[in-house]
Amino acid sequence: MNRILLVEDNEDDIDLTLLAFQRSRIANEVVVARDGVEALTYLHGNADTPPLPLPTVVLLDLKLPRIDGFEVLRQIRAHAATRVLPVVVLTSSAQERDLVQTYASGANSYIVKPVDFEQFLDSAQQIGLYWLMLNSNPPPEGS
Amino acid sequence: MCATAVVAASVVVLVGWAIDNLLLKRAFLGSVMVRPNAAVALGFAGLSVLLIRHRFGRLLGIVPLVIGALTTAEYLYRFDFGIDDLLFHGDPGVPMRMSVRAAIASACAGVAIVARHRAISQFFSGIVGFIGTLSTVAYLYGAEFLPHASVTPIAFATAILILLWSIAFIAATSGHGPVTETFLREDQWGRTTRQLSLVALIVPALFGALCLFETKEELFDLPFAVALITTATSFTLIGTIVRYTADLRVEDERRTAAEEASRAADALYRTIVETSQEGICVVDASRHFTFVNQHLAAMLGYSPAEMIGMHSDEIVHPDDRVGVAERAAARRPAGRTRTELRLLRRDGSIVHAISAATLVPATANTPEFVLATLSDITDRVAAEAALRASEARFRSLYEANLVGVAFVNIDRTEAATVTVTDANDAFRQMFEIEANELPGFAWSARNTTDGAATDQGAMWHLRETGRCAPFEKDFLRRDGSRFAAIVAMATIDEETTVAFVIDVSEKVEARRTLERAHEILSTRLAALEGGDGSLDVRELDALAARLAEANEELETFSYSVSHDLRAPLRAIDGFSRELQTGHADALDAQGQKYLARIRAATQRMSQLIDDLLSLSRLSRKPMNRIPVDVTAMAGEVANEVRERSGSNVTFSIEPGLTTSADPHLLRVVFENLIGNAVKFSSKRDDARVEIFSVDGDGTFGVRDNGAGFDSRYAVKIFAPFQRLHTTEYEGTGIGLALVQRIVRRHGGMIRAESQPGDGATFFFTLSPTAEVTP
Repeated sequence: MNRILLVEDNEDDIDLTLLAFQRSRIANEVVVARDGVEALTYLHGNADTPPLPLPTVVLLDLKLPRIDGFEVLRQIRAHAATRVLPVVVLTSSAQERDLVQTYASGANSYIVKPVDFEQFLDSAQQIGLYWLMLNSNPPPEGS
Repeated sequence: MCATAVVAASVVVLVGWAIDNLLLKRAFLGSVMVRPNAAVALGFAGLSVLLIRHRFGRLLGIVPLVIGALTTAEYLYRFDFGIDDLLFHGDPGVPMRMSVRAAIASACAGVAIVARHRAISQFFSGIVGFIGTLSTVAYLYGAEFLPHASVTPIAFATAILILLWSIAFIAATSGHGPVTETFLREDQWGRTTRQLSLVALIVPALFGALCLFETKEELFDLPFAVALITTATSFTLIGTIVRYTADLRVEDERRTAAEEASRAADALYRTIVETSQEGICVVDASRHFTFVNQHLAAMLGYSPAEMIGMHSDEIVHPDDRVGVAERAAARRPAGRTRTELRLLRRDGSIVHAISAATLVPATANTPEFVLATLSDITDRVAAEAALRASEARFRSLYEANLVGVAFVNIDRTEAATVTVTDANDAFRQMFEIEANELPGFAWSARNTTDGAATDQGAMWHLRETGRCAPFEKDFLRRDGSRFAAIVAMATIDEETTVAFVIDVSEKVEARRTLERAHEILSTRLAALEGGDGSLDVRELDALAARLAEANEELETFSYSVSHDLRAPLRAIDGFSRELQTGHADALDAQGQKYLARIRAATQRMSQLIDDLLSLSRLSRKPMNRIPVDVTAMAGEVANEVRERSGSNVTFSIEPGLTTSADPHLLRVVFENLIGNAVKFSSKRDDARVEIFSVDGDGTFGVRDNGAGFDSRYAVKIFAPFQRLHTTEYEGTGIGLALVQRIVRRHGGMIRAESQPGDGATFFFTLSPTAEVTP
């Protein structure tokens, strides 16, 4: 089953996102990383931990403790194993500065988290529809 | 006449013979009879001279030729042909044969008549003359003929007739032989020949007669007489010869000198032509060169020898050839032409030249030809072209009207009056003067009070250096208002100075505003810091650093506001909704209502955050003013607002409105003003919104016929989050604050007029260019 990696530090937002997926009938396993370091360890592993199986899509918040979202995105793109991994940036910020920088760093999509939960549900449904069902991922490198 | 006399005498003699009259036989002269054959021969010879013009006359010469020749042969061979007494028989003892001399003369006369060759004819007639003269002179000298058996003495009459005949023949054939031709010439040679011949004829004859006379008187003997004749004749002839030789020598020297002079003149002309610094050539009737001087050949890159025989068209530019041919035709009556044309060098390059050609008519010795002088004026043409180009350059400078250009005359007295003699359009527009006011417009008349002093300073520079560096000066317009200009001048000549004037009033105005602002700033800073008001660079740097720091903090603040204030709101809204949907049965109707209120408040809070952010963003965004079609923009916004609101409002937008503004910001202005107008008039059925300009001075108005408001609050409505209608109409209260900020950034003003229930009108202006930082 295709996994979703959600990188988010705000517990409210984690619960709301999971709720939104649930309401949208998205039954994929959602793995939550609560900061940038945790997300990168999951994807690339470290001295003690081998990398875990790659998710189908990464949902990435920009404001994170320790390593922020931009740096996580940069390292995902710098690493051979995750160079083509779909990354959707989820953020509260509607600032043009963030938008430009995100796409420049190699994000596949950018979604502003709306305050209105109804709209948030729509966004969640669209993420599921597009990234989990329609989009066929490129094969992992080396295979 | 001589010939007639000869013929007549011959007839008389023959008649004498017929009637046997001795007197007639002697022709009344001397003692010897003229023999019949001699008379016949002379008669025919005379007749032939009379008829010399006819062919028949010449044939008559055969008679004396035959008679003379046969008689001479009889003498030579002592033989008798029997011709002597063919006509008449003489008395016995009297020989009938004509004399030897008469026979020879007769034969010679015949040859002279018959001969075709003139020299031969003359030679033989000369012999005849000699015999006639000899015999006549001998008779005159009283020579006596010794009686001889077989030789007949010549009759005196025969001698005279022979002489007469020779004179008649020469006269009849005058100029037809080399001797006579020389004799009869009209020039000096003819005269000299005649004079010398006369001397040669008369002198010996006279001395001969003298000696004969002296000898007969027995004053001296014959040998002395011969010596006397010889010596006297020789001396006389020598004297004569010397005299004429001297004449000849003088004549020869004169001619030699003349030839020398002519040669020298020729050499001089040749040198003049060859060393001339003009091209000179001679062209024949078919326009080929027959002479080319060194300069012309060098001018065209040939040697003179190479050009001889070339056609003149070969050195003329093809475009000018027709002209040359036409002029050659036109030259015919007038004789001279002077034209400007282009010549071709051997290498194909062009020489500009002036050609002066003269048609020299044909003479007896030379055919008609054209003498042409060609002057190289390439340098002059190039100089003229350069001058024209230079003039065109300066003219374009003058007529471009980028700066005011005036030619002025400066009165060099203390008054330093500057009078404009000519000026371009830019200058005239600047000073608001008409073309007919020039020349004579006194620029000093437009001086401000301190203008004259400035002018005098400029005059001093002009006098000293011929120019004055650009300086700033105020002038008065026609209506007395001032304008600032930059003036620079340069002296062209004694009379004229050129002045360049640029109107810089706008720049000066801007600079003065800046100076005033600086002054105010300095004063305020001084008041703040208690200092002396002067700002040094270090303080300014510190100020700028503090400003940048503050901006940075503001940036960080608004960034965190957008993220951090939103997150809790999202949680509130999200969980409230979850309560509403997932846990609906745990709440009663009142609880549901409260949850809806919570969610509405959350949305409003979110909207407030967004507006606050856009307000702060506006201050930092750089502005880009360009010409904007206001009518089109207002129309687009109106359509969008109508669609969004679903209202049936009527729009009236004045056509042709334009301004200079940042289009994105101006659009925000219209979105808010039109949005408000529609919103507040939405409750009316005949809702109407007008967009218009006021007096064309850059003021725009947006009017509605909606709810309106109390004018007392007209100022308050532009403050952020200030709302006059709390519940009836939705909105955050940030829109008009935003509009005011944008209008102020464009250097403009906004105000509102309204009465409650009577609609509202918003007026705003945008200053033409200035941008003001809020």
